[in-house]
Amino acid sequence: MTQKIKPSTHHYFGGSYAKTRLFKIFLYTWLVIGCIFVLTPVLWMVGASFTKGKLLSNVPLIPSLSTFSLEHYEWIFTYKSQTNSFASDFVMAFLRTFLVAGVTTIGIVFLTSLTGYVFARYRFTGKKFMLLGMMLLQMFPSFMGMIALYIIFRSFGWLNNPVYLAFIYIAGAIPTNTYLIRGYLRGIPKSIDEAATIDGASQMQIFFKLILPLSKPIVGFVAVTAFMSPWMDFMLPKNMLDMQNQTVAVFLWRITDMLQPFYYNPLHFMAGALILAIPIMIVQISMQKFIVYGMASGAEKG
Amino acid sequence: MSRDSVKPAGNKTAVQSLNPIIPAAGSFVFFGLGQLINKNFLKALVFFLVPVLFFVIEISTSNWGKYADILTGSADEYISLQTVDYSLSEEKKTGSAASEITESSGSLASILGLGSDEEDFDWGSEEDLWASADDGSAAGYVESFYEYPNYDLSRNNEKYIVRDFGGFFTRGVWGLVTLGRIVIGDEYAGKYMTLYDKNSRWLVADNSTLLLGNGLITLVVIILGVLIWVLGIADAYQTRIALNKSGECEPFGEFIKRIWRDAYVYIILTPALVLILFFTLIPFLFTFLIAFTNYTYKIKLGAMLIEWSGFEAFANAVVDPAWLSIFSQIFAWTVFWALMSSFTVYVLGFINALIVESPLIRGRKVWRMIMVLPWAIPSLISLILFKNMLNKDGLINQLLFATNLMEPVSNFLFNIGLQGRPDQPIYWFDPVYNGNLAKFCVIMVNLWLGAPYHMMLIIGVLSTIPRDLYEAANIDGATGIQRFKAITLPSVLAATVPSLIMTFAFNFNNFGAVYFLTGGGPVWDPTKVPDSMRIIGSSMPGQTDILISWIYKLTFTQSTEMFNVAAVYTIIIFLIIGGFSVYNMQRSKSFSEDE
Repeated sequence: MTQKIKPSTHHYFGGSYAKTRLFKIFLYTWLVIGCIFVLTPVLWMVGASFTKGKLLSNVPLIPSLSTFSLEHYEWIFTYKSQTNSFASDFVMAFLRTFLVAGVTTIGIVFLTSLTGYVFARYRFTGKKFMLLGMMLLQMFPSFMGMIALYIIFRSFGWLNNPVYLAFIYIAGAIPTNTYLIRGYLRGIPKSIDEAATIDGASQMQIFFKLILPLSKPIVGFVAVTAFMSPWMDFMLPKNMLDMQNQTVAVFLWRITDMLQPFYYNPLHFMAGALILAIPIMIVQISMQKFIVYGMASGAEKG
Repeated sequence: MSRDSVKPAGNKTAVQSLNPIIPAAGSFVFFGLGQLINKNFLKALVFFLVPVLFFVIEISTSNWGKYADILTGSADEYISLQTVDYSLSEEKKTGSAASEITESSGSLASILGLGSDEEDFDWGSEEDLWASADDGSAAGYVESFYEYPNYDLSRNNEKYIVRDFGGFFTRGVWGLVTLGRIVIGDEYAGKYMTLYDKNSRWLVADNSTLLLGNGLITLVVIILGVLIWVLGIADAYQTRIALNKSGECEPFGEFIKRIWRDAYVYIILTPALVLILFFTLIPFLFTFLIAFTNYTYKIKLGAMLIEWSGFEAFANAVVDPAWLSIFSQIFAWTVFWALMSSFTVYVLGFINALIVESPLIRGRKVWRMIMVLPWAIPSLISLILFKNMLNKDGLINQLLFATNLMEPVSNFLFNIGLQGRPDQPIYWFDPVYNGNLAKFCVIMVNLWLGAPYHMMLIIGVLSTIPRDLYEAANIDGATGIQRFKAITLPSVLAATVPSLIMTFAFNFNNFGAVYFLTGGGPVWDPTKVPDSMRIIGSSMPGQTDILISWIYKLTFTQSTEMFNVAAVYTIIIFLIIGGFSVYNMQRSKSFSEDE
């Protein structure tokens, strides 16, 4: 179950004839075509972000110096709608989202590792009901509920403050992640806990000093997914925050919204999207180990 | 238990034996009374603080004091005319409007009929106003208005005392039960007021949505209170039994320790449960309740309140033939989309995983890195990127023109029936006749986005297949295809069926893939729209709209919202998806092993 992923030395498929040159050519053709499909949009995005003006039709198919310009990057890093703001609008939105993502990650890791631990190790009345109820509630489509969330935020005075969005993200992530962590912890033998109890460790000590370090892979996965979620979320910030306090997703979406001609500029979007995507890609790819592990164990446990 | 209660207490004690029903009844009558009878003074104080807290919240958010003043007749100065200089608030408004970005904070504020610039919020008075949309028409004027309603002038002697003076609890419950009242009328306070006047405090209709939401918040807090009350009763009962046995009061420190030991699980779970209660359960209840009201755009346009209307919305959504026909078409497309998108993504991911992991390939890491790229890019960005690529001027059409392939491709698409007309820049998402093409594009873009995830998942699973199986198969002389059929495919399927089911459930509700790419477009063929649906105008679904994105349109399209129907559809989706996930969980071994 928890085997390490090693480079494969055996053939998942392909037998004697698979060794023929023809098959090899087929595999490479497939990969090359696949890579063309994958890379074309990305390269086009890069090309478009360096193109003058605000028209998509200006983007040349072959890079050329005549349309080259850095104006979009300049706009991204210098445009301020309010003169007294500390950095450009994009950077502010980026930092805001970063803050939300950080708070969300800390909250989710702390809460779900505790709840997952409790669900894995303790017997108590209502356990199965709670787990099933949580999972079910989380399945509920949330658009109508957003009105209710708006009312809640309004009565708590939390509107237009991005940090409070973290509460909603945390609440939304508890069920799945609890389930994941619970599944993982069930694989750690209980005798470890018992031995520690005999040695006089308290419940909290067992959790923090024993269980948490042991469950690093799954907690790493939970942390990465938690950190990623606010960057892609759109509906909540759009409804709960005004433009001065907006997150980066809505900020980027707005510059591609044709109904707002003042901001509409798809090429600005390309530049901003690249700048946003690069750190996220770095995180995703450097955390690949955790993510593949978490996905595989999530698939196994259902 | 009852046996314990008759048992005489230890002889040396100061505490007399007492039937545990008595302290339980004490706690039943009032928080902490039973603990007091049990002589646990500190504990009694803790329990006693709960109703005190509730009381303080109620009083501090209400105007009961003012009401008492009115009753005793000592409030003449309150009821007199108040003069307000609007120039001040006007100035504040223009101050904030001076900054360049002035759009309202999203559509919800306007849907709820609220101004986007919130002032200090207080429970008692201002939240249920029907605010007018136009602010800042006159630049500073002085007007006088009544600070409190004058019941002497009320028409029909109607008095809404709870509405006008109630606090957090009383007002919340009142709102949830009645969903508000229209208290307009010049006689009500002796002064004529327009319906939409933002600045009037007492003379306008209630905002039922807010009352419903606030009522639910109140309800949840009350439920928490009731839970503590029940806990108090149980604690009084059990402590008394222990007391009768041992004859000694349990010190408060011991009590805390015991609680920490016994209720450890629940204490740990509390923060998570409270979060879920507020941010998942309340929205759920809200949606559920809206399905039983008459809440549509009409409520906003006229002086009407939301009212409980039983199953009217269900009848409208499910029985009305026009709605039913559109719904069934959308539903069929949603199911088709969910199946197709999950299937294509899974198959391509599988093939890619096999090829990337194949030992025949050199530089596996590099290939894998490139193939995984779409997964690493935030989906919102990729979707908007594809929206631009499939634009009339976008990359795809440019490429087709540059390679002189536009004509054959367009004709081909026309001939296989995807494109309605052989247009020459291809309008991928636009005109009414290109519905099929748009649907095809949505599935293809989703394939680009989703295949890498499954590739990684399956690579992960592949590495867990025991190597000996393949070696054994090799010794037995199995061919490559046989090995794939007998070992690889079953192992991968067994490990990924749960996640395949979850992918289906996810795609069933994959709002982003539709909304950010096509926005639901192209529009529904106007000649095919049933008459009874024309009223909802721009809330009509487009041809690529799946259920969830139609719900979005029904909820957020300004001035044609059909909240109750959207709630009904939400419940339908929930039943389907919830069924899937319960099935998925029940069949997983780790879940059914519990307890």
